[in-house]
Amino acid sequence: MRALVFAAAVGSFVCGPAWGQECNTIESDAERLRCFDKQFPRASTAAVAGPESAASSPMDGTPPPEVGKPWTLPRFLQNFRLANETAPSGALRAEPAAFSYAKLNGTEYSTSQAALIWEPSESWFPQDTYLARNGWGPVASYSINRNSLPAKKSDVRQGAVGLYGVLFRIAADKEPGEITRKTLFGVLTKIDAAYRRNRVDDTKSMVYTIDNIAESRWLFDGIPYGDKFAWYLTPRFGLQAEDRQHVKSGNPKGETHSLFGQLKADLYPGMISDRMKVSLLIQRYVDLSAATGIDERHDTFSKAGVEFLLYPPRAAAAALQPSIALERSYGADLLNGLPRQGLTQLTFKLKVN
Amino acid sequence: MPPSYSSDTKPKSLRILDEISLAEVRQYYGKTPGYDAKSQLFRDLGIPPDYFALAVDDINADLATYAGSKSVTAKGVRNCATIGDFISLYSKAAGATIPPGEPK
Repeated sequence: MRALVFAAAVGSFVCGPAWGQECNTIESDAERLRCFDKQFPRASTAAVAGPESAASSPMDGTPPPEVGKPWTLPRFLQNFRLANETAPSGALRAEPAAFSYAKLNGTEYSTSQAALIWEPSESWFPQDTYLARNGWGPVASYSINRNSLPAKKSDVRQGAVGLYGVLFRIAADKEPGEITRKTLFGVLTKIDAAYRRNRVDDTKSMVYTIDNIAESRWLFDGIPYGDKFAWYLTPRFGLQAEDRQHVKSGNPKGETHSLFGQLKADLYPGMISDRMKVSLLIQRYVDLSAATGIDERHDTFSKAGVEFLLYPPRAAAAALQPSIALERSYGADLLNGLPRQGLTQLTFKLKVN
Repeated sequence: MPPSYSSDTKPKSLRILDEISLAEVRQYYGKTPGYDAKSQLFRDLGIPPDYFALAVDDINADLATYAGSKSVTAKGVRNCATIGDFISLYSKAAGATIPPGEPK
C-alpha cells in the first residue's frame, strides 16, 4: 500500500504543470496570463459561494461551471445507527448503546446492550398511498444483550425486520395558512418479525411483535432542562407471539401469545436543578396462551433512574457531553427475552457531539 | 424545476417547526440569543420526537406539492435531533440541492 501511494505521488509530479517555463516566453500580457491560468487554475468563485449563488449569478449568460458536491456517506449508510434497543424509546430519542467492563477478584466481566439499526428516512411506497402518507417505512436491526456476570448471566441475540409508521392520528382542523394540524392523539406502530437466540438457555425462536406508542399533546408539558418542572409520559402497549423452535432436550417447544403494557415517565425537576432527569418505568407482560407443557408467564419489570448532566444543558454545540446516572432495574424484561434480575448501575456516559 | 433551498425548503421547514413547537422559531432563527441549525428540537424547542413523528402526514402532504419529491418516513422525522437535521431531511425529500456549509 505504501508503495502504491508513493507511485501515485511520483505520477502527479511528472504529469504536473511545466512550472511556468513556457509561459514566461509569451510576449502578450493577456496570452501569458491565460497560459498561467491554464497551468495554475484558480478556485472557482462559484465553488466557494455554493451552487445556489452560482446558479443565481447570470454573469455573461454562460451556464455556471459544474460544482463538485462535497463527499458524504451514501444515503443507504446514512440510515444506520447504533442504539440500545432494550431501552424504551419514550419521549426521548433511543438511548445510546451501552458497553461496560469490570474486573473483580481477577475475573473479567462485561455487559453489552447494543443494536445496529437501519431505518431509511424516505418512504419506499408510492407517494399517494396510505403507507407513504403516514410515513411507513422498513426497519431492520441486529441486537446483542449480554451480561457475563455469573449470577446474572444472559446473552440474547436478535435479528429483526419490520415496518414502522403512524397507525392513526386524530388532529384538529388546519388553521388558515398553516401547514400542520395540532395533534390531539395518535399511535405510532412497529410490526416486526425477529429471530431470537438465547445463548445461555440454548433456545432459538421466532418472535412476532406489534408494538405501539401512544402520543398526545396532553402527555407532556414544559421544556426539559429548564428552570421549571417539565414532564413527559409515554404509554406503550402491544402483542407478542413467540414460537420456540429449538430448546434444550426435555423442554417443551411451541407458541406463546402475550400482551404487554408499559408506562414511562421522564421528569425534569428544573426548580431543583436544570441538569437533572428522573426516569421511571413500569412494564407488565402477561401470556394469554401457551402451548402444552409451557408454563404461562406473567412478570412486572420496573426501572428507576436519576441522570445528572456534567455540562451546561443549553450548550448544544459542546463537543463532549458527559453525564452520570444511577439506575435500578428489577424483574424480568420478557419483552426483550431477558431473565428476572435486580441490577443497580452507576454509569458515566459520554456523548460525542 | 427543483425547489430552491434558500427560498423554498429552508423557510418552509422552519415554518413547520414554528407551528409544531411553542417557540418562535422563525422570529429568532439566526439571532443571538436565538436558534440555529444545532438547536435541539426536544431540549431547546420542547418538541418530543414521537409527537413530531405524528405530523408526518402533514409534512408529506406539503412535500407532495414539489414535483419529483419523495415522502419521508415517521422514523426519519422522529430521528431528527436538531433543526438542521429536519431542514436537511425536508430539503432532500423535496429534491432541493443543499449548498455546502448548510444548514447553519
